[in-house]
Amino acid sequence: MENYISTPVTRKALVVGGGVAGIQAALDIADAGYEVFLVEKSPSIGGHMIQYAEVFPTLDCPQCILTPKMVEIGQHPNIKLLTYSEVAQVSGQIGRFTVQVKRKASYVDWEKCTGCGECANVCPVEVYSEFERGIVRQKAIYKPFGQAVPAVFTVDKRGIAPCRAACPLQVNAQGYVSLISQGRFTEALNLVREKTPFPGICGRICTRPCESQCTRREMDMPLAINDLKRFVSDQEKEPAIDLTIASEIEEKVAIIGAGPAGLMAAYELRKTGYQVTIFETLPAAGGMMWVGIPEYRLPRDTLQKEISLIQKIGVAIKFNTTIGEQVPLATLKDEFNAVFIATGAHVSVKLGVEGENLAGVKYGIDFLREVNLNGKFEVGERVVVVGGGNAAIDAARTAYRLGAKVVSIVYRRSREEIPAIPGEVIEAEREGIKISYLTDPVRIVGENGKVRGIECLKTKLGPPDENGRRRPIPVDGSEFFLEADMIIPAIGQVPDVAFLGDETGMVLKPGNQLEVDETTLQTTTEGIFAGGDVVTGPNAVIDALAAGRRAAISIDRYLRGENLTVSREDTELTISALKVDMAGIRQQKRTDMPVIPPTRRAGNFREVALGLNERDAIREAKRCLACPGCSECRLCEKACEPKVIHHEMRERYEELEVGAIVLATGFELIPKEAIAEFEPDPDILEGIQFERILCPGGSTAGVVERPSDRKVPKEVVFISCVGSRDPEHGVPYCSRVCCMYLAKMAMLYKHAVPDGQAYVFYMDIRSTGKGYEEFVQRAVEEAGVLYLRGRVSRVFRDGEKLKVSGVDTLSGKNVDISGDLVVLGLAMVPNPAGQELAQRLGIVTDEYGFITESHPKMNPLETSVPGIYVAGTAQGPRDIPDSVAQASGAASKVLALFSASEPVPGRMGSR
Amino acid sequence: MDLSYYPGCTLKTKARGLEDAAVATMAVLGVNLVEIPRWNCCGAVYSLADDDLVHHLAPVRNLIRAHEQGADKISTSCSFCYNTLKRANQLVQRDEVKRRTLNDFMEEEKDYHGEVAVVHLLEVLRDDIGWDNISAKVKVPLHDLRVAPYYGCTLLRPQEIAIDRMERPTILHQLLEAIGAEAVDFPFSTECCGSFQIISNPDSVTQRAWDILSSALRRGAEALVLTCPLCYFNLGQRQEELKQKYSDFPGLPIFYFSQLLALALALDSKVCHLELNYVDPLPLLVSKKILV
Repeated sequence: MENYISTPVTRKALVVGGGVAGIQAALDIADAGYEVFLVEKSPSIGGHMIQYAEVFPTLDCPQCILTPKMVEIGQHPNIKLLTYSEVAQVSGQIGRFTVQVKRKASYVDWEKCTGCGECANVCPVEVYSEFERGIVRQKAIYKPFGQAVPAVFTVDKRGIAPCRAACPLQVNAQGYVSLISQGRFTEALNLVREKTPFPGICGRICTRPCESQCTRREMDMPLAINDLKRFVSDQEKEPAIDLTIASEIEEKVAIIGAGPAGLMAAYELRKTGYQVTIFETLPAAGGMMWVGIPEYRLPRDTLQKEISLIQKIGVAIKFNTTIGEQVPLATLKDEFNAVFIATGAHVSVKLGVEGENLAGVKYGIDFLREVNLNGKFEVGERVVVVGGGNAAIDAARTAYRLGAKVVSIVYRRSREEIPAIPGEVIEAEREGIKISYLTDPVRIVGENGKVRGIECLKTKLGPPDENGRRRPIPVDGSEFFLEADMIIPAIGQVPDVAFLGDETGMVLKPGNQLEVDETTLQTTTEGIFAGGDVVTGPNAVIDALAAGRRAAISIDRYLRGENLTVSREDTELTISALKVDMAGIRQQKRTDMPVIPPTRRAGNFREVALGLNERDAIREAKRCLACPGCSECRLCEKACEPKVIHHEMRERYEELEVGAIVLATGFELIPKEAIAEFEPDPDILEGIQFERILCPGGSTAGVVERPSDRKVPKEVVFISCVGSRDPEHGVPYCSRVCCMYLAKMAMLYKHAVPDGQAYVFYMDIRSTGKGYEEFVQRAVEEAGVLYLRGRVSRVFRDGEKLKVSGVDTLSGKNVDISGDLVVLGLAMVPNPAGQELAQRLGIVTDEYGFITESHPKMNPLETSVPGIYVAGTAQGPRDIPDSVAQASGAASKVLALFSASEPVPGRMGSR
Repeated sequence: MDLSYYPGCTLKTKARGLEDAAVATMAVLGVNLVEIPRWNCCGAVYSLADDDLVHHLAPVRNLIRAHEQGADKISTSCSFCYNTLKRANQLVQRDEVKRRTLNDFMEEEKDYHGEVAVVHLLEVLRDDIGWDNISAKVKVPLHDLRVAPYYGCTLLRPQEIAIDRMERPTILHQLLEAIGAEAVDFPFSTECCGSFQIISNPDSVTQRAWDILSSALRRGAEALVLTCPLCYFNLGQRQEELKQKYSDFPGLPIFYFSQLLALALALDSKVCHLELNYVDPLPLLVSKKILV
């Protein structure tokens, strides 16, 4: 036979997989004096074996027999342990492989981590635990288990939460929600304040883009994220916000308009150190937040409290000052180094129908402005509001509070298209305001110059228009008359651009909107920026706040002479495609805020929504699914004494040169959901889950409790061959270990609950190992486990019990058992990551994904690629003794290659 | 859209509620059910005997009737008819020898090779019309009505003719959700109702009816929905006996899927023939404001 290659052999080995097989192979090779890299995808070695309660047939505890070997791996001078790492790519051939290893970001400097666990103590996020198989949850910063090697912590961070990414201000919603769930309200509020100085305002009137992206909506309803924000802001009397200025800077910035965009820009610029002056036409600050949004949605003391912060940090606000009219824009350009235009959109759009000049017609925005500034307005008895936006609903509910007897709204599309906040629409209806959908006004009818009513016609919806909303089409002959003495058209607002005066440099788009650069918000005139409604037309407060922040960043860069566009800190966060683990999460209703009863709202402007109480807030916050794991609240960073947590850490790649590879990538169980006869239930467990419950070192310290109600199960039904030997539902092969581990768990259960009864449904008992049959007999005779030969057709919940319907094929009778807990002996399948790696390496696998040995009898350790060997369950279902023996066998193959005189002997290189 | 339709014998008598409601609702949903001419019994039970080809003549003749009309698809709303027609069709498609024997025997008929596809109306609702389109046409959403979907056997077994997953099917659940009702999952939704055992061993059917109905009641169902006249009979007609046997058994109204659909689309309730229901559903429908 010819030599396969004739190059020198790199006498280093790579072992992939840190389970018992990989551990054994690595130790054998290292003990022989060769260097070994052991790559494991999870943070610790130990594999499945370390999860088990005890192992058959000797009932040793794996923590006792495996831990010494794990420790040896950690300390062996010839072993380099690379956990939380994956093999990305392999090139080369036997004797000379080049391996790319992906070192996943653990966000902790493992060299310096002392494993003290202070970080996990403060972490507010709980996530699925792979080690506990979901039986208990773990913190998002975790050490997988007590004896983990290496004994360090890892942050489970898989991206950015959709709620946080959806926020125009990038407020870390998941972060503050998780802190609230732990009762850490101050920290939660501080986290909100990192992105906005207005938590109380946002917490009341935000349009909640976060909630529209909440993953929870897929299972029941989105979290009440915004109500939680309001809750924490309500917890403090005086805003405890850090108002320190970075360092005073001479440059002066003028801001036109003290609405949300202007205030936000002023806050950010002043915090940086600029000298900021706001010019405001009205006698009060807040813009639409003050003169648009009614007090029953946003109490004035909340507004006042948060806006006054802007003045407290030294922003000057010049009230009753209109740019253009009193001060020409040109003067600002001369006297200030930069200008930000945030004048909003305060001019009402006309209906364009006959009769708009009649007495008794008052436009929505003008109406709200007068009410909000003066606190009073003489409304009519019968008020008709036209429009379906928030301004229309606000106007209608305000008119109702001011004493109008009948308030109705006409809207030309259907309920589905109405743009107002859904909760506002519902509350309006509860106040008795009638909304006529698919109704369009034709003309306002008057008598003696005063409004007498409005003529409308019905519409139907046609195809979608350019905005994607279905176009209303008038229905011929459907005209009808609505009696009214006051008409409030509220169909939109446009910006007032009178401030421009004779300024001609700036470009206006249709609808009087200022043209700006989307990224920088700079207008067509250098040094003049604009944002908020004056650019976008009427929009939500949260968008105006985001525009204010964006303008502040641009102005700061502009005044420092920096590039305005490159790597901006306000780029949108991308919503990560997260696979959120919902196993074991139960449906739970969203807790909504209590409200003042509708009957007690007329005649006053008291806040309608009353806020959550502490208990409800915590309960609501606990509904969070922690989609990406870590929420980046950074409490761990503060708690870590050696300062080894780095949330900015990135994954990196390492290149290894090795001469041989052992694949010991292990197994998984088929998901129990694959077996549709068994109704999903928290008390139907896979084998490894019950191992965790039986384990003396597990979460219950060995006390056997069932997950649903933590009661001690008195009857436990074990079912073998679930998915195994069953090509209809799973795989045709035998998984080889289930007979034994079910017997073992039944026995351990009987040891823990002596008065309990264990049943095992089996097809036939395969106990072919050394001491195995004796072990099963002990389970039957000594422990009194009841073995029933037959299959189970169905498992379902019946009150407190689980009904197991099966057949006893020895007596030929149906058997129904009411059990407390059901444990499944699920089929073993290759670990998906190992299977994927084998495919990437071009290694032949069988149809189930197990690695095919190069000869089933004579070469059971070699794969189809020379120099790559296989050990353990990556090759096929087997038990621990077989895996360990095979691992030593694979190690000896590697050692033979390393010990041979160069070059590689032909026999080893041949396929 | 015209769609060839095979009614089956019960649908002209005891199960008029299933048929008339189905024809009326399908029309509203844009499908015109065209009854095939000269149809005969579906065969009632698919014969499993290997040398019993004569029992397959009945269903195959019906398929030939549809084929003669130029139809490429035949629909039916009875689970039993669906089962025999579909399986006989598969036999003709797959077994060349038996196909030849059948065709030779029916020398007066044109040769048939399984050209016509057999579908259940639930499949038409799901695959051709779509749940969204059904939802859009709902006038009386059956809000607050908790209905247990009962599939029985013949829609789902054997696997090769199943209209949905054999275990944990969802097609009736989806229909219920589309018309605004709440689907109540219960463990016996695919359990056999006892079928023709009602003739030879009625007590066993009573027991099965109890298992199925009491399970649905325990899960909070206010009604049961199904597709099969025999299930309807076994689960409905036995309830009088169950009331005598179990004093606290309140009874459980049973609907054909087409009846609920007709109610949700606000069709004249006459098409539902609610008077034929074994358990009077009117008190429930009135209390839920579905009917006045």
